[in-house]
Amino acid sequence: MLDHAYCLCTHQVDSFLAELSKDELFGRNLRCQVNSGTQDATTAGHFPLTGSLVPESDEPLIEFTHSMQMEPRWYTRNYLLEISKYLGYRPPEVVMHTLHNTTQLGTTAYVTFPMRRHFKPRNPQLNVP
Amino acid sequence: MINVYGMTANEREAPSAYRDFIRDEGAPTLLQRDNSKVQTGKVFAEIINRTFAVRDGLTEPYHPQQNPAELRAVKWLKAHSQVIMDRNEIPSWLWFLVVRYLADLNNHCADETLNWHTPVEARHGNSAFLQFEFYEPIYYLDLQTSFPSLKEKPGHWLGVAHNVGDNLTYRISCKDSHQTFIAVCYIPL
Repeated sequence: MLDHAYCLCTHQVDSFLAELSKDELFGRNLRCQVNSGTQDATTAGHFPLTGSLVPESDEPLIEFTHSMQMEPRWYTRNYLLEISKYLGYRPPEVVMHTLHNTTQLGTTAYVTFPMRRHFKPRNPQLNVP
Repeated sequence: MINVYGMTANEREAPSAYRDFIRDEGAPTLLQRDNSKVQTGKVFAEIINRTFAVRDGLTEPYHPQQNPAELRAVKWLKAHSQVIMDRNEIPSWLWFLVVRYLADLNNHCADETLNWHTPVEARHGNSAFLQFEFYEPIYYLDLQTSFPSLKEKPGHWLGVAHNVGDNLTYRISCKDSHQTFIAVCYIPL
């Protein structure tokens, strides 16, 4: 039985979505856990010692929460430098923001060995336009 | 966002490359270019730009710095492609694929001027992440190999094959014959 008390018209949903900013749509304004306190997701990547987005070499690890998946991610300077070779040796700050603002849904870890043909896509979620 | 299209030395292919760009990205509002004969010719100025209602923009003679494509894209691609080729010991005949790979990297890296969003996300909405190293040694599946011989062959990763099959389809170079072809699965060595 359809409960009309909880139904919304389509124009109400559209107007609600139209009022949201892009950060709110992606959940970047949500509160997330950073070490012992809570912090906005947009500023969750800042490091307490320097206030920078890029960690220094001796700075402790900070939880960096992705806005969509809300999974904790840990970035160290060495990790960013390691990743930078895959991004054309970009500076760590660019790598940090790239990791924060991109979806990492596809992987090549599903390859079987010995290798064989696959008729279904290994990462079907990437084919969504 | 940087788009790279291949052409031979014949400049008559430039209008075709411009049409390919419009097919991929849509017609721009303004085409800023230098005063070369091809880009100020009848095909560019009258046929394509009038058809798609694109405004014309030209640089002053002997002022290439006024061309944003030359200043921000071509110069950057030339400089960084040499860095990539030197560091990874890439043969020089792969220069065009290196340039395409660099354009992909630029389009998938966060940009401060876009509020740290990627150019691909700003243009198309998706925010995928590429994590590959050009000319990375890999094993790929050779589908044409008959039974007794091994199906896994050594090769090199040459970039993402756009518009081919599923996403995460790649260009692979065979290590022995240096032929390039398309592959889906591979294992990093």
